[in-house]
Amino acid sequence: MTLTELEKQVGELEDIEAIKRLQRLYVYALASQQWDDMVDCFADDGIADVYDWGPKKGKEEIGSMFRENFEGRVLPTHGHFVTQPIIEVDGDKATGIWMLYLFLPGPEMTWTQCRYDCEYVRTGGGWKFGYMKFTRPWPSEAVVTGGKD
Amino acid sequence: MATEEELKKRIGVLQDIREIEELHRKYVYCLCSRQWDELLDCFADDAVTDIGSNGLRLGKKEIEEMVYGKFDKLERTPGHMAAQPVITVDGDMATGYWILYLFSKNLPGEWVQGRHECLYRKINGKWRFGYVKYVRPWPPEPSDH
Repeated sequence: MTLTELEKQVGELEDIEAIKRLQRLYVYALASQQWDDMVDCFADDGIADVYDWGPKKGKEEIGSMFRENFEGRVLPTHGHFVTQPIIEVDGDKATGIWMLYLFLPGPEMTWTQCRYDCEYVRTGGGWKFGYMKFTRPWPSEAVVTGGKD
Repeated sequence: MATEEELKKRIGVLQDIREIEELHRKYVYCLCSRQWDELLDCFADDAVTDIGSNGLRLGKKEIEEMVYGKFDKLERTPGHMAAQPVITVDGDMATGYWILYLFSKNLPGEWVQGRHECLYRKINGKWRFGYVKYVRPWPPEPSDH
């Protein structure tokens, strides 16, 4: 293996680490209601596609969506964590899927399984979301019941 | 193009991240299975802990007293799960934070989300905890004041 080939392989492993870090920082910011920090995870022309609210493009639209819809709904008493990443890097772009578990307070255990489908782009400020889709619950009721819903 | 030395260093950082994550996960496995001696082996001799309501413990001896005096006295050890590591390596030092979930019928809602904030140190080629702070719940619940 040449040094150039080795550098490419090392670079891809570093990219995967950086992308995992971005996604985790995004969820830490979500859990602690730091809407601006969440927006910082997006590229300038990034798209957020959350629930059925329709895709929002650019930091201004995305920030407004978070503040208007999450303020008062995403609470410190909610648990959030992401796991099970599958990341594929292709040069300055990458794709990734993750599970997000949402735990809600209650007298008994309440949880929901959700999914992120993401495209990441390498920018001057490091890896950012080019596109982020959040689906809750995932899979849909129709899928988990084998179409008997 | 990077030199061989530069690439070795970059690979070393990736290996360090993996080893630190494994150290942290081993600690959580040991918490669950009450393997106290293996758990204590995760700490540097002069490590400091600040875990929940147990206050500051300075050095392995004080940590050991907490482990056998508090953790071992629990009637039932909750389920523990660490997730979402964010590790930053700087030579033989590193920082990291994790989400740590506890699961137990004795908890309201049967779960609580907490956070580990840690310093790690590489000693004789092996990563150890230099400092562990555990806060629960995380984020803190809103103050009534």
